[in-house]
Amino acid sequence: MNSVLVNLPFIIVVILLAIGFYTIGFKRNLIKIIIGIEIVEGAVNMFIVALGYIKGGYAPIYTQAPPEAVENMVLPTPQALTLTSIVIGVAVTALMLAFAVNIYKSYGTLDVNKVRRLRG
Amino acid sequence: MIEQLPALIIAIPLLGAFVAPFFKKHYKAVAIWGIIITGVTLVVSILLANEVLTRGIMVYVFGAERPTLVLPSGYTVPIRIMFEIDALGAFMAISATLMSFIGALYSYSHVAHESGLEKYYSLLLLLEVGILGMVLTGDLFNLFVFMEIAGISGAALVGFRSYRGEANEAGI
Amino acid sequence: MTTTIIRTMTRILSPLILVFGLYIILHGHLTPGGGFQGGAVFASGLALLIVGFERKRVKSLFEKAPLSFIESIGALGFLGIGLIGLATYTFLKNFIANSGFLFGSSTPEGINPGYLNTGGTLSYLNIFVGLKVLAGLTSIVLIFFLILGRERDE
Repeated sequence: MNSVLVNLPFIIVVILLAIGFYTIGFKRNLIKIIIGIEIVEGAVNMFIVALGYIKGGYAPIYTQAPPEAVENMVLPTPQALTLTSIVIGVAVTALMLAFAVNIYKSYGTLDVNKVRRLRG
Repeated sequence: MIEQLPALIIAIPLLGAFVAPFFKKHYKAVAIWGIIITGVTLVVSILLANEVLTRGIMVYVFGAERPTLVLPSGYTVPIRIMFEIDALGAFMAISATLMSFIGALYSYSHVAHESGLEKYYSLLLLLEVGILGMVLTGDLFNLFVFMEIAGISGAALVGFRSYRGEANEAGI
Repeated sequence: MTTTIIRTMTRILSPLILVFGLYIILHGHLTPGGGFQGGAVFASGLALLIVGFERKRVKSLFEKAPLSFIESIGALGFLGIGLIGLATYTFLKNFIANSGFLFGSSTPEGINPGYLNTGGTLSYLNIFVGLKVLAGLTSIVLIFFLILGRERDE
């Protein structure tokens, strides 16, 4: 039971990845596929942040910290990488939604099996 | 001046890509601006290749004086963003800037009747920044960031003519 | 979609959200936050203003706002500070720290309540990135709202 509690973030990352990939592969509406890509992106960000945990550590900020927290801070480098990844995820989502709106205006439908005018 | 070249090869197209949305309706002017910026980048990359072939590998650090600055607690890992330019990178940089220059020359007349042309040149210059950054970087995280810049700019550039359906389908 | 309750609460809540977003941008070197986070909070405050009123009033309010100009100022300011650093040492060097300019005192070491005046070029970069993110996200929400062309009233 203790090892499940310690590894709980990683188990949830695997569950979210499974749900995300199922949504990308098996759904027909374009908006649902975009939501599936978003779920996978959230799972990857959570994985990167959960890698940097030190047991019993404090938040890595120097302003008004408790005095025993100077050497016992959680690693701050994965948090910077995750911030960049979240920004990139926002930009990709905005671009995908703009494309989806234009597809609806010119094809009249959002079904992936019918948006097939381009071949090869 | 010669030591600051790796920063200039990223900064000049970035400056061009952010000044280009100021030309709202003068389509000839923004085309000429695109040709000027890609031409200057081509000259800088040829100078960089010349430098690398005669003097060896160049390492450039963003924001410190020497590339071996260490943390005060004693770690000996270089802690800045670094660009490392060797012969393979210089060859790929010449190829990428040559392709961008030819693309800008050809689109002087190919897209002359579209609307919103300043966004087209801004996206083209951002794509060039992404490819050059991918080629000239020194660690994996920079590779990821510049690959994202190139990917998003490329996808937006593919779906540019949005009055028919196929461009949007190709973009998504 | 725009009942009286929504209009009153939007008028009370939105200045608080906008000021909180500016606080997160400015204190980027002391507390968690910085350029992108503060810009996203500010843009969500403006999105609340867009959704909470009807279409004619939103269109007349936001047509005069020079959003792409603010975005260009943010990008060019970021690049300009990097190039000024290029003139002296290397690209993007912190040349304001430990000098007497607007954000340039020196930081004491260890644990302290943070002082706003320190930070060097980091604070300028936070402000410019915040401007650009704000303009970008707000223009995305604005274009998606104006493209629908529906005039419903529930």
